[in-house]
Amino acid sequence: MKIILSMTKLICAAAIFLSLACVSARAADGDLKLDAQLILGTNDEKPKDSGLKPVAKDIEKKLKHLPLKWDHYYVQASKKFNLAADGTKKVSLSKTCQISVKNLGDSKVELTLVDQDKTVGKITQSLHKSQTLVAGAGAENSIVVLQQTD
Amino acid sequence: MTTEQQLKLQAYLDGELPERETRKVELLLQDDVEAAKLFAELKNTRQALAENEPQIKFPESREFYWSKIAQRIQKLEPEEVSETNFNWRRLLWPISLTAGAIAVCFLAVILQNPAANKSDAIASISPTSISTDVDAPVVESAQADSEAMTYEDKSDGTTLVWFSADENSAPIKTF
Amino acid sequence: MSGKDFPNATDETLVRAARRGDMGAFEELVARHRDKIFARAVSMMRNEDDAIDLSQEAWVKGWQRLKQFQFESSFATWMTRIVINLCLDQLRRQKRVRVESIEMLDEESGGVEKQMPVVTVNPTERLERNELRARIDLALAQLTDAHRTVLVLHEFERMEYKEISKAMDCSIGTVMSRLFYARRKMAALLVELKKEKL
Repeated sequence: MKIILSMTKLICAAAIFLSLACVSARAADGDLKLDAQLILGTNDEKPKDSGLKPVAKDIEKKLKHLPLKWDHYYVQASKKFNLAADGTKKVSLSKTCQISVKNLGDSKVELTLVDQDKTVGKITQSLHKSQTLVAGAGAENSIVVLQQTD
Repeated sequence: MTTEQQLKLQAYLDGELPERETRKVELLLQDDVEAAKLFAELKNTRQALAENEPQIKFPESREFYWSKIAQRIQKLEPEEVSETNFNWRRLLWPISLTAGAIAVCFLAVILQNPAANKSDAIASISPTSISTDVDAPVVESAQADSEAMTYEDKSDGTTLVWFSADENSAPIKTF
Repeated sequence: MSGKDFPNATDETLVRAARRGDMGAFEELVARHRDKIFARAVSMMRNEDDAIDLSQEAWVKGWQRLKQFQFESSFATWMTRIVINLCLDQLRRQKRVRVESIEMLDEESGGVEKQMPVVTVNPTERLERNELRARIDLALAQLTDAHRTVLVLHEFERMEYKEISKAMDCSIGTVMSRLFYARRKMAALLVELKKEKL
């Protein structure tokens, strides 16, 4: 009898564990792990602010393929954050540059660019793991790069 | 002769040497036989090219070439077209108004379920543009005097969007 | 302005008509300057199919930007600049104008051209114009894209160093050394072609 009870407990525990795992897996399915970077573009080999680090090679490669007028790119700010399905997150990348990112589901995001408290524009776009969204405004020499992290 | 001297020799030939350095190059040409020979070579090549650009024969008929350009112009969004003919606009304004209303309705649907706006290269994007490419971005500029340019590099999976009131001030390589 | 007036109209009149949406006027402009725009695209791309596509794209862009044309240069010059930029963008996309090979780095830092003997005879002397043009075309085909582009922009388009550096997005020093190498290489190639002919 004891053995039957123990077996029943074990099966119940396993069932509960599996249900929880499924629920959390489904919830995690819609979550996005994002990395937003504020990047300085320049034609100088060394930036005026010597504390800035060059961007990662994979991002640099992508940026160099874009028709931007700069040869070198340095990270001014980098923020990693999680975004649940339907969630919105406001991220401040500098004193003047803020972004707001909304998770629209199916790896789609809505990026709102805010400069000095004024909304500049909004971009809605798929952002699968291989994709990168680059946004900028006016005559600025900084760009926002948004992509999923692993 | 140093590389710098060689390049100055060339700049002198092209009329691009600052006046204060001209005299030095003239003295070099007088005193250095090798410099004079090099100068003559550069001059001959420059002259030969300037007067003899290869002639290239155009391979298509005028009508065929133009028809492809005309097709692409006609496919442009109305706001991308240089300027609309006034008479044409007067005749068609009621239709335009209806089309505009439909476009606004479409936009509302699109913003609910974002579709896409495709651009092969840098192009002006209007918020009302509609595309069947679901991966392409939908872009809205928040300021009335500002436009958005988009560029998609499909091989890299990168999308660039630039908001700017003045296309020329954007740090983007366009003409 | 009616269609029958187009052949006699000036470029300026046609541009103003095209700005008002007159496609006929724009067609006349295309017909007038098509050969030059196409030729420039061929000289930069060295490929007729690419040149057709890019020249047509240039005309579409020209139509879109007619309002920006301020009559500061001729319409043909303005259109040529558009096609040149499209070609440069395409070359960049194809990575044909970046400094990549060690050989090219060497050329640009002034290594190789120093070793080339100076051509003391004029290899283009006593040649018929058509023959000379054909040889120049063959020699241009043997240059790298970056060197040929500088040569085309400077010798055929008469662009200044500063303008070329802006268009090609490189320093004036790079323009000067690329131009120097390209000219020296052209001289050597023209001599070789003369020898082959003999």
